[in-house]
Formats: sequence, C-alpha cells, structure tokens
Amino acid sequence: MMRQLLAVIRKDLRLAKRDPRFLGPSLIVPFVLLSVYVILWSSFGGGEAFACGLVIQDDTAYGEDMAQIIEGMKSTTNHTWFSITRYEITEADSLYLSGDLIAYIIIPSGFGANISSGQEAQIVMYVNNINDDIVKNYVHRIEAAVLLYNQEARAPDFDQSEATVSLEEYHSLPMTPGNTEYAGAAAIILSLITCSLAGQGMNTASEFENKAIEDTLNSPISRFVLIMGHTLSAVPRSLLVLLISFPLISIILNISPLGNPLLLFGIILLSALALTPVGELIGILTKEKEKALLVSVILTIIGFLAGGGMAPVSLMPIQFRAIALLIPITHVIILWTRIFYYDTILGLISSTLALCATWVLFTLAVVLVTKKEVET
Amino acid sequence: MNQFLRSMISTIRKEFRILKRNKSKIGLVILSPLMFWSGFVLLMGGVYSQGIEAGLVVLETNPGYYTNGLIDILGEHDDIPPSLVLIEMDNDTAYSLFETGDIMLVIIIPDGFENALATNSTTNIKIWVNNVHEDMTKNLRMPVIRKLDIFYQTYLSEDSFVDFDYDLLRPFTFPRLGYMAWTMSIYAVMFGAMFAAGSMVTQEFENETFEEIEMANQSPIAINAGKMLTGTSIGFIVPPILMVIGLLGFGVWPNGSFGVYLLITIPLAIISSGIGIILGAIARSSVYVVPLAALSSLFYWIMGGGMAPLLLAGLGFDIVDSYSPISNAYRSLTAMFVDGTYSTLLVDLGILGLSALVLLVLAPLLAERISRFKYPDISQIRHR
Repeated sequence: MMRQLLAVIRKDLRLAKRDPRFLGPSLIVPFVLLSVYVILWSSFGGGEAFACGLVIQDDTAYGEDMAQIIEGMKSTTNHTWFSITRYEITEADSLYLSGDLIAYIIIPSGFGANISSGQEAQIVMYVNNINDDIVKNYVHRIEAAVLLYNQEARAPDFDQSEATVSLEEYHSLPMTPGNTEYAGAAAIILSLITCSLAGQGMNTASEFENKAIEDTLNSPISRFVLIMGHTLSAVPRSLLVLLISFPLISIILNISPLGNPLLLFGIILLSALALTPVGELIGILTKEKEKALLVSVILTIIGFLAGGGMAPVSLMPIQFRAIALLIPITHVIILWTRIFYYDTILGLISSTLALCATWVLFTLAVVLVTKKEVET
Repeated sequence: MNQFLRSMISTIRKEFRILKRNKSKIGLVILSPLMFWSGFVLLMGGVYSQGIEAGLVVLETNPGYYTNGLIDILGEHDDIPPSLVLIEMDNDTAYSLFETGDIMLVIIIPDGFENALATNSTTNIKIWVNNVHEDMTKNLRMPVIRKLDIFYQTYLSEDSFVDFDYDLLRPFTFPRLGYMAWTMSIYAVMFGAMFAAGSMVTQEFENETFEEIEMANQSPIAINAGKMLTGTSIGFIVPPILMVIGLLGFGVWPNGSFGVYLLITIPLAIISSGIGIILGAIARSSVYVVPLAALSSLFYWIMGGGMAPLLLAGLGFDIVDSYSPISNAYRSLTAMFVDGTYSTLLVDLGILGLSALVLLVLAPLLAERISRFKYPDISQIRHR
C-alpha cells in the first residue's frame, strides 16, 4: 500500500512539474485581490481617516479646543479619524453641494459663549448620505469628538481622568493590525486555498480530458490510496506556492507573523489536506479544466469573502455565520488569522475539528464518486 | 451583405449555439455576480441588520437610575448601525468567551458605578475589544462610544457641554447592501462580456480549432468581432436579476432611466468584450482568462465605487480612475442610481462611446495579430 501511495505521489509531482500553469491561479488570485484592497485602503485620504471639512466660526478657546479634538482624534491604528481640511463656510458648502466634499462640520459662532454661560453648545455636521455606511462612519466620529469634549479629554493627550464616566479599553492584541495587514495575512493563506482547490481541480479534470483517468481507475491501486496519494502530493505543491507568496507579501506589506510558527505550519498542512479532496471532487464533477477552474476560482473567492478574508466573520448575523461556518475555507481563515498576529492556543478546537471532518468526508465522497465513474 | 458581415453574423450564431450547448458557462456568468454579492452581504450583514453581539457584565451590586439607564441605552435599537445585541453574563464567562474569540466585545459596568454618579464622583465603564482587524475594531468600539455620549446627553446633562446635530443631503439614505446590488449589476455586465468573449477565443486554442478557422478562408477579424459582440450581449443576462433582488431584499430601486443605463452599459460591455478577446488571444488558456476576468471586474467594482463612494478611496484610486473609461461608467451610473442626476453623463458617454468604438475596430484586429504569434515552446528551451 505504501509503495502504491508513493508511486501516486511521485506521478502527481511529476505532472505538476511538467505543467506549472496549474500554479498560475494560486498566485494571480491572491495578488489581484490584495492589490485591490491595498489600493483601496492605503493612500492619502483613504483608510480609516475620513475626509471632512471643518468650518470654525467661533473664535473662542472653547471652539479651538473642539477643533483640536476633531483634528487630533486617533483610531486604534494611530491614524487620525478624520482627515480634516479647514474651510470658509462658502467654500465648504460649495464643495459639499458639488459632491467634492462628503461632509463638513461647523463650529458655529456663539459656541464658546454658550459653554461659558452654562448652556449646552451645539456643533453641526453636513453629510452627503450616499448610503448608510457613510452616515454611520461620520456620525460615529463626530459623536466620539463630542464625547471627548464632554469628558474634558482635550487634545493631544485625551486624558479622561477628569471625566464623570470615562471609558477604559482593553484590547486583546497590543497593536491592532490594519485592514491591509489583515488582508495581507489572509492573502498568504488564499494562495494555498486556491492551489488546493483550483490546482487539484484542474489536475484531476485534465486526467479526464486526456483520458488518463481510465488507466488510473482501472489500475489495481485502491481508490482510497489513489485519493490519499493525490491529497498528499498536493502538500508540497501548496508549500511551493507559499514559498513564493509568503515572503513576497511579507516584504511588500512589511508584515510578519507573531503567532507560533509550528501552529502556523500545522494550519497550512491541515488546510491543504482538507481542501485538496474538495478540489479533486470539483475536477471529477466538471471533467474539464476550464469548468474546474471556473468553479474552483469562483468558490474560492466567494468562500474567501464570506469566510472572513476581508474582515472577520464575527460581525455577521448569527444565521449567516452558521452558513459561513459550513464553508471549509472559513475555518482555514479563522485559524490562520487568529494565529498570524496572536500567540495563543485558545479558540482553535472547533475549526480544527471542522477541517478534519472536511478531510474525512470529502475523501469518502471522492472515493464514492470515483466508484460511480468506474461503474459508468 | 458583404462577406465580412456574413462571417461576423455566422460567428455570432455559432457562438450562441455553443453557449446553448454548454450551459455551465452561462450558469457561471449568472452565478458569479450573485455569489459575490451574497458574499459581501454575508460579510457586512451583521453591522447593517440585526446588530453585533456584546457581552454585558454588570458588577454593580445596587443597580438603579444610572445603571439601568445606561443598560437601556446600550441595548436600544440605533438608527445609526450597528446596534448592540446585549448578552448578559458573569465576569468569568465573559473572560473565557473573549479569550477563545467566541465573543468580540464585552462591556463591564463596575461596582460603585451607581453610587459614583449619584454623588457626583467620577467612575468608568470598561470594554474588552478583540482588535484583530482595524475595521472590525472600529465597528465594535464606536457603538459603545456613541451610546456613552447619548448617556451623557440624557442622564448627565450637567456634564454635557456640547451636543451635535447632523444634516443629511438627501431625504432618504439608501441601505448599503441594496446599493451594492445595483453596482454589482455593472460588475455583471463587465465580467459577463469579458469572460464570454475571452472564453470564446481560448476555446479555439484549447480545442485546436484555430487552424481550421485560418483555413476556412473567412476573415479572422470578422470572426473575432462576432465573438466580441456575442460576449457583449452575454453581459446583460444578470443585471435585471440583481435589481429585482435589491428591490425584494432591501425595498430599494435605483433612481434614473433604464435607457441611460443601457446607453452607458452597452459601450462598457463592448469595451469589456474587446479586452476579453485580447486577453483570450494572449492567454490562449482559460486557466488565466477566468481569474483575470473575474478579478479585474471585481477590482473595478471595488475601485469604481461599488462598495463605497469614490471620495473615500485614496490617491491610488484617483490615479487609476483618471485614465480608465470604465470609471466613467461607474461615475455616471452611481450618480444616477443615488441622485437621479446626470451632471457628468455627456462627458462620460463621450469617453465611453469613443473607447468602445476604438476597441470595436482595434480589438478584433489586435486579437487576430496576437493569435498568429507563436509562443516559444518552454519545454524545448529547457531541453536546450
């Protein structure tokens, strides 16, 4: 059995070496998705800093205090929360109405006088409500500025010790990974996911196209050994892809894993083992390289998006999360992104078990499907 | 009818016949945008629909006016998403769920909170935030900050020096997920046209029928143009489905005219199918054409304002945006969808129409020239 297994692995590796095109999607998919994400988030005016105009009509120290809070507020990644430009009212209003400025804030005259006389002062924000996401982001930020003022937490220290109710925050990681840093970590594992699904799918489909599958299935090798051989030979292929994507993405985005390297390696192995039978099933069912590629790439991208590749699945509604957790890719991303920036062994059991179950169930499914193929 | 037109029309007929036989391709043209949209809805649904779960630990032993007031405010539905869905638990359970990543946000009201506020002393509330991702961290922290400010305005009026008001430009704010269904229809046009046209070219190489075409004494340019126009029409299968889903799921229908939608998307589809046949001639294998079509369309969906309006993207986008006619389609269509205005329509239609015309003439020619180029055989080079 071992000899047969090794023979299948050797044959598959020879095929992979002969046709390296199969590795193409494994590199194209993560790099294109990553570049989209990086261009979208990391540039002047992008990211967490939302462009906003500021009009100060009040010339008291109170008004200036408020302005400094608005300009100096920091997000968890040390970016300012607003990318503020000061304008005169006519200019701000004209830019706003022409669509060149999404929002602007007015600190009106009389603001300081109201506060000094013990009355509540008010600032006003004008928002171009293209959709509810815009409104949410701008209202949340102005709300934070107002709260800081009421807590007497002035810029640049934002010290809340004088506040009637201060807010004390504890974060699980010492540094919050930025959106692009998270996407970078996810893109590394995406190359492995694509390799396991698309690479194996096309590999199997090409056996159908060149009729080699008939010889393989009619050979004395047991179907189980055959599938295991295919799965095990996918591991070095996946590692080869990671050998390119891991250092490249790490250098480009200046990221490095903070979690336990052994755990990360374990996740890589388990992911390749769990996803390769899925790719094999896609190849058997589609029987054509093009279709196998289409199905696997689409499934990979959808699984990646829905499974937490761009942002963790934790914010999904419970019913949706239940659907997302049925997708094996979700568990790969959960494990990988949890460990990549976090040196912990907690919270890994359920996803590890889910991937083991995927490996077993899909291997059995492939064995059954190949049995049907032989019969037909 | 001249020979060129006859060849082009018979190619269109042939390609439709092949597509009719090969339904899986049409299936993927339909499924791809629907699945992308579903993926994004899955991802963002929690923030915009039922809210996010937060563990609430009340250590206060004598909760009264202030403590109950704060709990009420924290648990109230908020018009500004996301709302908080509070799950009351004890400190140890909250700690263990937070450490395993099963709950991402915990709010703790300490013992002595009630007394401190009743006696004008200072106190605090604590929050634990799982900060594995910047945007998620923001969506977890910000609702608590907002609720605390509302608590200040409602229960601590003496400490509330400042309040704010916001004025929205439009009487109605569209839900983001419905907005994404409309913009995903632009993706659908682009992907459908690019993939279908590209795949029609690669199939000739993969089935080794390219030589037969050359031998058939028909103009290869007419054949490529036929493939391009077939691809253009394939792009229009999905948009109506997406619009109806947006209406049924979120009760919103885009502003604007159907005629203008077609005026903008037809040249966009021609441009996309032109790019598709060139890609097909270069790649000669669906291995590359499929991900390139899906991802370049997705790239423009994100960059062109499919998820968020353009001004939120950075300089990187602005540079790409300035030189691509595809962005003109997104610019006019998003303005039309949201406001029903057409301020840039003439300019955008001009650029799109001109680009479509140029590609309609050049793409078949370019694809034909590229198809004739013989790539060196890598295996022979290796042997050498």
